[in-house]
Amino acid sequence: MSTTPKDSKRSLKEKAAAARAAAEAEQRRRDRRVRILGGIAILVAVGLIFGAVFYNNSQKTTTGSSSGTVADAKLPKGVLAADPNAWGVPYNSVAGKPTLAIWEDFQCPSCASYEKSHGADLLKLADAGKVNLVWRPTAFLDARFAATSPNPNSSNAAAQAWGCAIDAGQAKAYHSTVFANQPQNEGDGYSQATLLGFGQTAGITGAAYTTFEACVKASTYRDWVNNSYQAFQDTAVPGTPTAYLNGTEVPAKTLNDMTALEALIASTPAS
Amino acid sequence: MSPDIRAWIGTLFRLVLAGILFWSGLAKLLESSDGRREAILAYRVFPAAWVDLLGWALPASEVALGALLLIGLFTRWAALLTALLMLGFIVGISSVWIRGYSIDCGCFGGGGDVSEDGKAARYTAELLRDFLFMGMSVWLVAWPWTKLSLDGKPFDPSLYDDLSDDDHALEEPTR
Repeated sequence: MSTTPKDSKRSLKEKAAAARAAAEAEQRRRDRRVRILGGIAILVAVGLIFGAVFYNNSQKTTTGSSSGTVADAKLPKGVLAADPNAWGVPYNSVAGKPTLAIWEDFQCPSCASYEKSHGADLLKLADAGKVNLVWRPTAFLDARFAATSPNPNSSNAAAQAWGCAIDAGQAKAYHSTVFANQPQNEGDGYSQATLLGFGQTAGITGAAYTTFEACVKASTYRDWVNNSYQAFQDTAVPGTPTAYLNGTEVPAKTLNDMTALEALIASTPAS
Repeated sequence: MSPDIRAWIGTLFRLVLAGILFWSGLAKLLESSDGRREAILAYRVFPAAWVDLLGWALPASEVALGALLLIGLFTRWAALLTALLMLGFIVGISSVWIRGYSIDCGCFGGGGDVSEDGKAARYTAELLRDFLFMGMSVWLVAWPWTKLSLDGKPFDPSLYDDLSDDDHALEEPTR
């Protein structure tokens, strides 16, 4: 009939434990609700951000720069029209030797410093008949400075003017003149007057200069430069200067170490 | 250190990381897809086929992790992923430095090959910064319980004083 003190104590203890469990369960429920609501809020927020970005990008691509390849582009004298190295400018041609193709952007500071420290050595290797050298122009930096440059599209314009200089027989001189006179501040670029002046510095005179000037002013080689830039993008070239020996990327350290580069070239079979 | 101070330090780290991740993710997303491609290619790590996917996935993860850290949801997991992300950046930057390339890390948009000027100082600053962020993330993995957070808290009996057991009283030996 009557409960012992022990029993009542146990039931008290059980009651306390039950209340505690209920409280824990209640807190867990509340936590779960917060997490679910929070998760949904995040999904919505991230979704909105993506929507905005997609919308933004779809607006942009309608005026995109990627133009594809122009099949009947006019090419400067001697420029390669087919792969490998289509649109590249061959410096020399020796049978039985590998081909080193080097991508450059006329606004790229690393290209200018490479030209300064190793450009002459590279030409020496080619002159000695150890390698076929191909210059491959690109204009990827134009996008980076489109909004800030006083001379937008300078990489493209410089490469076009170089094309005109190639026709005048001054491929090497014009190439080195542009890099030697690259503006200190990356992105300042080259005005048309500057590019024409480089022609005179490179030794284009008289009637040849008149032709050169007309060629530059008419943007004669716009399609050629765009095609070359398109090839740069299509083959996912990681930056400039980047060199490929028979199609295999040359590591930066090798490219900057003439002894190592010469050894690599010597051990590479003909292209 | 009292748990309270630890929680406030964790809160500070959480919000700083959230801001950084939001900023870096959005800056990348607002770039053109060509710009993102260029930034990733410059590392010379990933094959060309991965580049476009990564150009979306990386900034998207940054924004998502930033959102989680901002509101303090799944803090420990978000912090763990953030720490791994930072480790990835540290490995990536070290690797381009060791291989002799001079790139802009593209951490907050931009990216691609840049001038060699100030290369060592630039890489050092970027690495120190990422180590700092990784440290904050690791702290949050160790102590994820922070203030102003939506995460559930570990059961705290002091919140339930009224129910709190009189176990000790009950356990007194019976007469």
